[in-house]
Amino acid sequence: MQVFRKKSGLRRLAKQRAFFWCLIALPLAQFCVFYIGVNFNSFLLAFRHYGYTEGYSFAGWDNFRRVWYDWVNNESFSTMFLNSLLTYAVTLVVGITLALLFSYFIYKKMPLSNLFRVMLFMPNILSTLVMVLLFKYFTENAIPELFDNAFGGLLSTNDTAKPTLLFFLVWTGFGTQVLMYVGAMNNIPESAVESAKLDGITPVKEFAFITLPLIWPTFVTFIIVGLAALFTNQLNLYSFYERAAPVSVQTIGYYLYKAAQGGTPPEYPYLAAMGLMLTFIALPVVFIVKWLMEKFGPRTV
Amino acid sequence: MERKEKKIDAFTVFKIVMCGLLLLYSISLFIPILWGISASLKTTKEFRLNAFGFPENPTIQNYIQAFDLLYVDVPKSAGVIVRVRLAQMFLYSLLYAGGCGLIATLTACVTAYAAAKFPQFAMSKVLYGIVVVTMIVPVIGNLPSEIQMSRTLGLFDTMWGIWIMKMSFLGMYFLVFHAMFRGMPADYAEAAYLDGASELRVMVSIYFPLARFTFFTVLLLNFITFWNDYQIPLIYIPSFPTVAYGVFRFGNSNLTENSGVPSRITGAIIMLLPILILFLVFHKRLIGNVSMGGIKE
Repeated sequence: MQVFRKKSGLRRLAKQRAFFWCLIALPLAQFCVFYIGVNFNSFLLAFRHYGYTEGYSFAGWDNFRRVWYDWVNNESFSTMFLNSLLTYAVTLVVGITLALLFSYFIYKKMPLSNLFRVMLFMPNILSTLVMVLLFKYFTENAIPELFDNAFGGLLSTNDTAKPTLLFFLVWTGFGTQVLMYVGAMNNIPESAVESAKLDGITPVKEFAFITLPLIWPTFVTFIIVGLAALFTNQLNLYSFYERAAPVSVQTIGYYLYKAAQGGTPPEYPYLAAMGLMLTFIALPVVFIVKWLMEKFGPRTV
Repeated sequence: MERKEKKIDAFTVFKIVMCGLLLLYSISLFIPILWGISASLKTTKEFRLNAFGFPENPTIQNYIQAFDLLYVDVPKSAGVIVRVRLAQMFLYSLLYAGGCGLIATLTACVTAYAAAKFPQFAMSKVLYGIVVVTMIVPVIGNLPSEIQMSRTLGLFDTMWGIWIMKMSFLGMYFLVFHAMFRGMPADYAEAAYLDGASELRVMVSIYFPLARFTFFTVLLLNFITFWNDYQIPLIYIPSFPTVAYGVFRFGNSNLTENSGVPSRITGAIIMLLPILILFLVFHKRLIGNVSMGGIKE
């Protein structure tokens, strides 16, 4: 009887294994080609040189030297690095803080919270491109007219372009965060909140000692995902300016997209080398921040 | 007692400030949209004289013109140029957003199901780990390599090619599905197994129906993301310009016939309408309770 059960159990396990592999085979193959393959190819590309007659050939560290030379000698890159860091800092300090507070407001079902939830998510639905076009013409035409043309368009004036772009990024960037934070907050056991209330906990303490610690994994996710996108964030520049964004507002993400989109095979190795160098800068930063956040994250009461 | 009142007051202040901020935010969202609709009803001449105010003589001329002006010229072989107009762009948008949205959602759902429901296999943990690691690891500058790869594999500039490229289980929605399937008790399936149901039957007839609301929400979100995306079609399917691609080209065009700001704004409004309708119909589903685990393994 026991042998029969064992055999039947093994048969079921074998069937489960076969079914499991049937489910994941195709996605895994796609991952191997379009993630591992693409990145491996990108790594190889960084060490190559392209000539129109001879095709690709080994270039050693030449591409990396060129990138380093440009980073050191071309002032545009310093501006782009600073803009990328500034973009992340603003998203982190203003965007994530406001998203957390808004989420708490909605989670607590305060007045009009359902309406606000819809409103906060709306920019995600209505297309960044459409919002960009409407915002661009509004700030370039309507706002100056409203102030009797005392100043020029907000995006075409040097002093106001960057703050306007950062405002737009934060203004349209709450949707997914609020959706996920509210989802995580709704999963907090009611009993934990109720018992804390019986102990006389204040709403501020409830947020700091119950809500935040229990949604901490989701919070860390957004911090880390944002940090991982440090050098790929385009600040919506391609939508605003297409290929003609002023250097003073450009980010590394915009530069890389623009160069790859309009690039030709001879430029690919240089871009791949730059990508690899940026990955080596961002990678340790991401892992250190993740480790710190998990080690020193808040504890529940 | 006095202390308690003070605490309540502080929270009331928080509520008022937040409510005020959110009200301001909501109004600020509508201002450019309403202004855009108003501007789209003006002639270029009137817009130059009165950019901010309401139109004195509203006209739908821009909407009529947009159907003529909103096109993309696609260079084909040997100098032949094919003009793709709005109706065709809508079709390409449907194929791109519908196809990629469905494939991306299905792939994330099925892979998450496998990883969540078969924890006895080491590969389940590997799959979860892959998703977490790829979300964290900042891979930068691999676009040239991806373009090169898509050309080498013959996927470049084909609709089925972009569908294959988007058949990825990576990303947040894997975590959403994984958390959901992990939360579903195994008891449901056990009874079916006792009745002799196969693994496929259990997945299709028991677990997937339970996941239908989340699946539909993610599908809608993916569809909208792809519908609104112009950067991927711009690179990978240049012969299949979508509406977003067309509006981007139209909005930034330097052609004199398109140079009027009201007609460019009209292009944006035309793109906005289908999604706005979709949002109004499905907003409850779209912003339902979606949650995910963190990236801590």
